[in-house]
Amino acid sequence: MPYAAEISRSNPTCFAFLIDQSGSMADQFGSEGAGRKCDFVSDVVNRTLHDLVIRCTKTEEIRNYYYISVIGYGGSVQPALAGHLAGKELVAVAELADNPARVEVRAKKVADGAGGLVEQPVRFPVWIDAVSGGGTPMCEALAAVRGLLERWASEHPHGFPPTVLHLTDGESTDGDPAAVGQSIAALQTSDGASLVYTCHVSSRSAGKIEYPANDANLPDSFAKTLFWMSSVLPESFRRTAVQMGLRAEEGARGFVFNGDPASVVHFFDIGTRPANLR
Amino acid sequence: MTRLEVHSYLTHKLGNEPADCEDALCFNRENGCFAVADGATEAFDSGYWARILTRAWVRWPCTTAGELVALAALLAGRIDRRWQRKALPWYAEEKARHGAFAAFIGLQLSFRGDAVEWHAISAGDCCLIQLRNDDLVNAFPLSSPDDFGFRPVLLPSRDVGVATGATLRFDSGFARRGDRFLLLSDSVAQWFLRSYGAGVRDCNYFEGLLAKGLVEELDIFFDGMRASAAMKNDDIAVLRIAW
Repeated sequence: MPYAAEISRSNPTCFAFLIDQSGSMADQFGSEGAGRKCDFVSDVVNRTLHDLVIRCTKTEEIRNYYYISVIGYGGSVQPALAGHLAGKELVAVAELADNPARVEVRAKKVADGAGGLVEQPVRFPVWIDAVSGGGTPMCEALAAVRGLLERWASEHPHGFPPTVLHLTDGESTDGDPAAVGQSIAALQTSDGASLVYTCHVSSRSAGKIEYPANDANLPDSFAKTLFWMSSVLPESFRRTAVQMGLRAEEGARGFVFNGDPASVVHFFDIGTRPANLR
Repeated sequence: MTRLEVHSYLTHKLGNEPADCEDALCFNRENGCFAVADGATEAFDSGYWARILTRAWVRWPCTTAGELVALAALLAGRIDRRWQRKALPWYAEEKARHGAFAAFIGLQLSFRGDAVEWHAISAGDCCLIQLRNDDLVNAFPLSSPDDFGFRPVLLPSRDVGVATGATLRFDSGFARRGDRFLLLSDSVAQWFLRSYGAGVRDCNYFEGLLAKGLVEELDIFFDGMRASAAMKNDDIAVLRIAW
């Protein structure tokens, strides 16, 4: 049965975050007065990395259950981790934990025990910064991810297959990404094929399509290309999406089109579910 | 309580080190008290929490919610002090803030003439199984292998209070001469109930090895079960009490 490999220090898995950092990511995202897409996305990615680190924390030690890659594409295609990890395309989660670019203090609303909410300062580690500029070299970016996952899979032939979490807000400016996208989904370990999930975000508030099982309602060939590049959700992931209140019927793919901020949060939560399989 | 025959078995998850084991067991033959706990893997320092819970409970057994909550609150201070003295990295500090969690089961036996009266207290999915000849006469708090895996409510080291007490479960009964009790952490309990229900009787073989104290054979048996996925790869804690 695929996607059943135990994730352990001797048998880790890999998460690759592929983030569109093109100029349009500076546009507003969500309701009026909301921030930029790139700010929102970098916050969600930083929060997701934080959660992956916490899941690997055993008392004072971090166990390397995961390898992490964050690739950004816009003006160029490059590793997006900042600070000491700048330039590294793949790091073990322990290295990530010990090297955030900085730790900010942010306010978090928590229950006050009397039915209300109070703001409490929390530490918020930052690994990637909000970046926007340039075009959308999606083919080059996908090829970079394929290269690093090929190497990772050859070193971990029996690991839980790598997961690619691809977020974009626009069409590729360097060609048709279908072939390279599908070649990533074809990468295998003995536990199954790589999982490629794609979240397309939009500043428009209408027309959101989440986790479709077919391409019938997708508006154009661009949307259909992204759909066919994305993997069918394994059953446990599909059930997770349903438990979150999302409609994800059998055969649903890990694909969101015209996603809003809530879609982005759900997308990274569902996509990092292998982290819970230990 | 010297009439009691007690055997124990504790082992770590395949692929981990012995020191990584987050299951714990302890017993006090003098007062007839037995305890098994399973520290939650996702939480902070849960193996230590499981160990101090079992040690404390068999020394100061409590079979009411109020008493157990008070004992847990007392022990929680110990786990907090263990870490407050140290400068922790951000991730450990955050995890420590949420505290430790453990499933727990405690069993207290009292002789009543030629019978034994038993009382059990439970949090989460560690199980008590009472056997008579080849029959399973009681399984507490879970009695079906399908009951496992639903994020049980565990005993926390933070915010131990009335809400914690409300999640505890209690059972009691009598045992006849020749009855055996097993206290089991979750994965071995689930496997035992599945094996018993299917009539496979691997569970009889396991109990036989345990009763003879054949630890190496138990290691081989459980390594095989876990490697073949017949049992979830997890830590294992077992106490067997017979009289």
